[in-house]
Amino acid sequence: MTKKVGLVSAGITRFQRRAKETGKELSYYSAKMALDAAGITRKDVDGVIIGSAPDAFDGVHQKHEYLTDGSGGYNLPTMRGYVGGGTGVFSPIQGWYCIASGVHNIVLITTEEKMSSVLPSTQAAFMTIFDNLIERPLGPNLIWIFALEMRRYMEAHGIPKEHIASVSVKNKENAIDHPSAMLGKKWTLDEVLNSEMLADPVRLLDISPVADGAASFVMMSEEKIKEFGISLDDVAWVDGVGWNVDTTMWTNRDLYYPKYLEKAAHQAYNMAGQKNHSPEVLRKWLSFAEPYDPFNYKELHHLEGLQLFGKGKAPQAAFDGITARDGDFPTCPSGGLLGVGNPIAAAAGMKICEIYWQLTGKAGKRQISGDLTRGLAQAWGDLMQVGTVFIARGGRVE
Amino acid sequence: MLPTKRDQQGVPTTEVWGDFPVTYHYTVGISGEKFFEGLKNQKLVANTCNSCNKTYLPPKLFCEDCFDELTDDSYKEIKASGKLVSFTEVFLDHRGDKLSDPYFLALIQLNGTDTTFFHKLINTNNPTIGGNVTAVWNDTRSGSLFDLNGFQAE
Amino acid sequence: MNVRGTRLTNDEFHNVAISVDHAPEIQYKWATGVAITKFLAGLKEGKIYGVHCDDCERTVTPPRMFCEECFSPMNNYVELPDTGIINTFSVAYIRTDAVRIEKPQIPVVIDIDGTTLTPSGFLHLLDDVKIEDLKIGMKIKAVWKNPEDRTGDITDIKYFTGVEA
Repeated sequence: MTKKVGLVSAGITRFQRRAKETGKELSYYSAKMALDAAGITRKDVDGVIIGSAPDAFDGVHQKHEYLTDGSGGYNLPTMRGYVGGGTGVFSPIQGWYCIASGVHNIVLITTEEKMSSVLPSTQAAFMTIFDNLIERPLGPNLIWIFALEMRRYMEAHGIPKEHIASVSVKNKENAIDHPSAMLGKKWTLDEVLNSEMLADPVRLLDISPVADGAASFVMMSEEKIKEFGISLDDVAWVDGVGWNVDTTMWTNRDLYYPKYLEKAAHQAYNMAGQKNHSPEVLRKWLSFAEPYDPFNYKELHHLEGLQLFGKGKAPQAAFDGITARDGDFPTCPSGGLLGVGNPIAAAAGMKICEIYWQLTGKAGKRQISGDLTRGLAQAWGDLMQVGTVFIARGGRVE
Repeated sequence: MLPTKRDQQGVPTTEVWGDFPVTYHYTVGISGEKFFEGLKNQKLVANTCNSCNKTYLPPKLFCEDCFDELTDDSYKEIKASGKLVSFTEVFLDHRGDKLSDPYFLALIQLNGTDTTFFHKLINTNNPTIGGNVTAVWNDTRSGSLFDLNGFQAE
Repeated sequence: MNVRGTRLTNDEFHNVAISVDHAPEIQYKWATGVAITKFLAGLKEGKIYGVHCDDCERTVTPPRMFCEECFSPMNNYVELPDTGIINTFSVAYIRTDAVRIEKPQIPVVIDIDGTTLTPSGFLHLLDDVKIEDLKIGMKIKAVWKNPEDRTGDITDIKYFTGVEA
């Protein structure tokens, strides 16, 4: 029997291309903000989780050790989980099982990335992710594989680029209302479609910007929530979690569809007690989603893997405004990675913050109207084969 | 430049060489600026958490214990002398080659601080744990760790 | 909501903020392992090797020593043709070090002929093709280095190019 676990607060830094603060100082800002928002101190915390993507970005090996003090881990059981870009959503999953299992009662989770440290560009570090024996000699860069996947996806369903570009327009506009955002701006579809070509079909405004930043949240067992007298209006219960990884041989599988994410999503829905996984049912059951959007097509690709739209159906829905913040099924109301920025683990951490703030009515100008029951955050990583899924429900939703 | 290269002998299909073609530019951060600016001015700058009564050298933006933010008024110059906590003599460089001039690395507790500070121990052949040491400053300083030449016995 | 963090301009980041620079001086020497050694040795001879899983009854490339699906050992190496079809491709104007280039590189994932159950293959580059003619499903073939120039490397195949209809 697992314990009931709730998110009780969130904290975040500004996201920016170059931060003056060190990684541990950024972590401190977000961790402290989350503790303050929960009305607790570090002394109340009995477990700390650190989420951060490749060490090669910050340039500090064993980054979790380096980030420990800023993340509040001094003299506490502290650990780091790492699944590449999927990390920021995996960290709260770790927080969940630490509490659900009864090991901890109050967990502080911090996700961090400081990508400005690496020169000449982040691509130099990304290159070392590729297979060292038969891929690196070809001089790959990370944009290649997105371009390869995006083309495969577009070809499989005959998707027009306009539909995909509309995701950039939507998310960057949503980000205008996010206080951490780097790129909140109203772009036209034509500007996205005609932005600088990088690796066909990927253009500059299809991509989220590398960034420095941190995001944190506090999770508590139900007993502690009661003990601290925290109002259920300020709680978002963990409803379901899932994660999955596909073959490491990424050139051996059809990139048009993220099968691993489908499996992770089924795991999360089943845990939440939702047995019907048809898109129409799931979109009613969930109020909104924060799919992972490092590139605009990825939001759509992920919405399909999550079973929230049928295969090939998400692009038209986005283009038609169904996923706008005031649409039938809002996606990335935060502004996403495309608009808020992409400090890898912290970017996915930002999505968890957004789920919490939306479900507790604290999203300010970004607040989705109406009664929200459930929100889903998802991230994706490793070399394109990890899916992590996190579902939360409002504090008073049974 | 290709990111990997073959072994010079040409033949082998059993080994591939690769490098890690990155450099790093680390900002020293909020508390780091106070510390390195201090070094440039021949000062050791620490800071104190008043709640925990704990003094950090190098200074920190936050107290790692009570997690309070340590604000601008927490910073102060400390006297650049203290006690030798531990040391090691280094005979090999980081490539594993023998050094012609072995040197000492030391952990030093500066007077009035609750942390140990990591630097070189100089002008000594026979360090004594617990002995008093004092900072030796470099005449040219730029806001770097090597604005300090190291510490020597008092 | 008061979000914090101090934004630096490019100039402030490089020239104003106090900073420490470091260039890691490391190199790696990777053993190519059992299966990829076989693969690379094949390339030196102008051959593309795959490996057959006797349990799943599939042939895959690049070779691997175990089947990640059924977890059986695999050592039944088979020579595959040096032809295949375009699984997906890009026309890239950004080099590996993020520098913009005039003549694009064309990364391609190739489904190598002779792989079975589901097509499989590897990443390489296309060249000597008309960009406007490229499409998924197009038949392509390897263009090899001269035998004396091959070193047992993925670049022993210079590139893939179109097969005349």
